[in-house]
Amino acid sequence: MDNYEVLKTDVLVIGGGGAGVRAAIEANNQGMDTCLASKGPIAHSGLTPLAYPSLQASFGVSDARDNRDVHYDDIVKIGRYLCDEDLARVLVDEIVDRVYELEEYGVKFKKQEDGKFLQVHHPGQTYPRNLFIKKGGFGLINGLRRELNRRQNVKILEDFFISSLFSEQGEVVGAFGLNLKDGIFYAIEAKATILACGGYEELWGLTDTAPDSTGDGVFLGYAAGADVIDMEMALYYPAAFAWPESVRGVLLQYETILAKEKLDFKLVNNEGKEFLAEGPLPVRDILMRSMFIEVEEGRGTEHNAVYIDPSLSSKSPEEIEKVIELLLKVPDRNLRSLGIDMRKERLEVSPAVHYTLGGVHINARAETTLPGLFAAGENASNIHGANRISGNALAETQVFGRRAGFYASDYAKKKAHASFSVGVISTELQKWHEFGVVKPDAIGALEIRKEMKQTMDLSMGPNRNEKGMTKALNTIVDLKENALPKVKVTTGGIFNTEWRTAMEVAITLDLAELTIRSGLFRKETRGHHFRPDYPETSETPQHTLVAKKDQNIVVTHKPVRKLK
Amino acid sequence: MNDKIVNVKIARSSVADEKKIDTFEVPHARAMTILSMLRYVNEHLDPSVAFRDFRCGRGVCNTCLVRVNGKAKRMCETPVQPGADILLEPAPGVLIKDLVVDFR
Repeated sequence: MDNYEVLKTDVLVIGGGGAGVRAAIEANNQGMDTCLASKGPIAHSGLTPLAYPSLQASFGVSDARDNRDVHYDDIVKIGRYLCDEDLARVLVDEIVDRVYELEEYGVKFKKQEDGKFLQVHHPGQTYPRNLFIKKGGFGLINGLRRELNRRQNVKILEDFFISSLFSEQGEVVGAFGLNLKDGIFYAIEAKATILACGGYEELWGLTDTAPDSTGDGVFLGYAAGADVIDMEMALYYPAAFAWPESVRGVLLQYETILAKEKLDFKLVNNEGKEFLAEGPLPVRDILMRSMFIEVEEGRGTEHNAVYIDPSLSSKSPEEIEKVIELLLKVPDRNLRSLGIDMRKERLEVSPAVHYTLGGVHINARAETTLPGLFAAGENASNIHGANRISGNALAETQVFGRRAGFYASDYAKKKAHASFSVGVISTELQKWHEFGVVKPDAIGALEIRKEMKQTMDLSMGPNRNEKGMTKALNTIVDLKENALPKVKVTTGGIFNTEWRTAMEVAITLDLAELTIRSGLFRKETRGHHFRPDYPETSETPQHTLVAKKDQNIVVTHKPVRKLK
Repeated sequence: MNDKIVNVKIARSSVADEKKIDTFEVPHARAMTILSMLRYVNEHLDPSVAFRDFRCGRGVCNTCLVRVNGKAKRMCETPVQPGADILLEPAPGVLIKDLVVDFR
C-alpha cells in the first residue's frame, strides 16, 4: 500500500468557502493551531464564489420597522415551520455584527448616498433586507481569504480532498485525504474537526451551482455516524437556463427580471400566455410549483421548461437599460458575448437545484451529534426549514462559521491528540486504489454520474411521488452495487482529476440513496418537497433523520426544536 | 472542413514532464464556451484532461483562466465559434498539470 504523511492540528476545517474560512479565522482568533483543507483553491472553488450578491441583515435602513424579530418571523414562516428555531434566532441576532466584521476584513457593500447600506427587497421579506456585496459571492470570499492570509499559524491546504473522518471511541479525531497537488495521501490528527463543505447539488443534472458541490461534508458526517436530516429538501432556484445546453444551469436573477418594479419581464408557457397569478412575485416554492404545473400539463417547452418573455414588459427600453446597468451588468455582458440578448429574445428557463437544505444536524453551538465534530454553512442543517429566503445563505456562512470556529476551539482546548490506527488508514487507501484495479467490463465514472443525474432530475425534481422515487431508488442502488465496482480509472500521479471524480461519484451515489429514502419517508407536501400523492401538510413538522446503524440506513423522524 | 466541428488542441503534461499536444474534434453547440467544450472532451473523449472546472460562471473569479490561441482568457465567458481552430495552453503561473496552474 501507499505511503501517507501525517499532519497534526488543533482545529481542522474542511471546506474553503464562506463558512470554512470564517471558521478558520475564528479558530485563529481563539489561539488555535488551525488547518484548513479545501478541495480547490480558496475563492476559486466551492459554492461561495458563485453566490449572488445578497446577504440578509436587518439594518432597517430601507424601512425603520425592520428588526431582528421580523427577520426571525420571516425565516420561520417562509421555512414552513421546519427550521430549528434556536438556529434561526442565532442567525438573526448575530448577522449584523458579522457584517461589520466583514467590512473590517475588507469586504465591500453597496451604500446609499448617505453612507448607509443599500437594502433591497426579495420575495419572502416583510421589509427590504438584502445587502448587496460588491462582486457578489466572489467579493465576499476574496475578502475573507485576504483576512485569513494575514493570520499566522493557519495552514492552508488547497486542492486537498478529504475522503474520510476517523473516530476513536465515538469521538472524531481527524481526517484522511488526497492532496491533488502532490498526489500524496495525508492523515490529519485534529482535536476538533469542522465540516464546511457546502451542499450536494451535484446529485442533480439541472443545478446552477459549482461542479464540486458533491456533498462531501454531508457524506463525511453521515459515514462517521452523525445525524443527517432533511436530505429530501433540495431548494430550487426558479429560473436557470434549461437550454441551450452550453448554458444549462446558468441562473437568471428572476427577482430582478420578473419583479414588476424592475424589468417586469413575464413568465409565459409554450402558448405565449402568462400563467402567474396577479400580484407580487411569489416566493420560490410557490413560483417553481406554478412553473412545474405548466410543464406537467403539457404547456412547457421541448426541454420541460417555460419562457421568460421580454416583449410583454410594461417598462420602456430606457428603464430596462437602467435596471440592467444597475443590477445585471455582468451576467448581461456574458450572455451577449455568447449571442444571447435578454432584451430581445425569449429565454428558456426551468427551476434548478440551487441550495440543499438538508445536511448534518447541528445545535446552536454548531455541534453535530458526534463529539469533536462541528458543521457550518450549507453543510449543516436545518437553519432554514423547507424553504430559504434569498440572502440567508451567505448570512449563515458567517454566523455559523464563526460559531463553529469558536466552539470547536473551546472543545480542542480541553483535548489531547488521539492518534488513529493503521487499520482504518489501510481500509481507506484500499477504497481509493480499488478504482485502479483492472476489471472486465470496465466503465468510466462519468457514465454513472450521467445516469444518476438523469434519475434524480426525473424523480427527485420539483415533483416527487411514491412510484417515481421507488424506481429511482432501485436505479441508484443498482448503480451502487453493480456499476460502481466496475469503475476503472488511472490512479496515482499529481492532480488526477479522473481519480477524484471517481471518489466523488461514489460519494454522490450514497447521498442520492439517502435523499431518495428521505423523500419517500416524508409523506407530505412542505416547502420545496412537493408531493402530489401527499398534497397535505402535516400539523406537526418533523425532521427526516437518516442515520447509519450497523452499515444499514435507518430513516426516522426527529423533532424540530421550537422556542415557544 | 466541417464548420460544425471545433478543432481543439490541448497542451498536456505527462508524468515525465514531457510536453505534448492532444487534438480533439468537438461538435459545435449553440452558446458554446471553452469551458462547456472542455466538459464535452472530459465526458466523451478523454476523462484525463485536467482543468479547473470550478467557477463563478460569470467572469469575475478568474478560476478558469487559460491561454486561448496564445491569449489569457476566462473559459466560462469565451465563446467558441463553429469551425474554430483552438489551441489551449495553461495560463501563466506555476503549472501543476495540463491546464491547471497554482494560484499562489
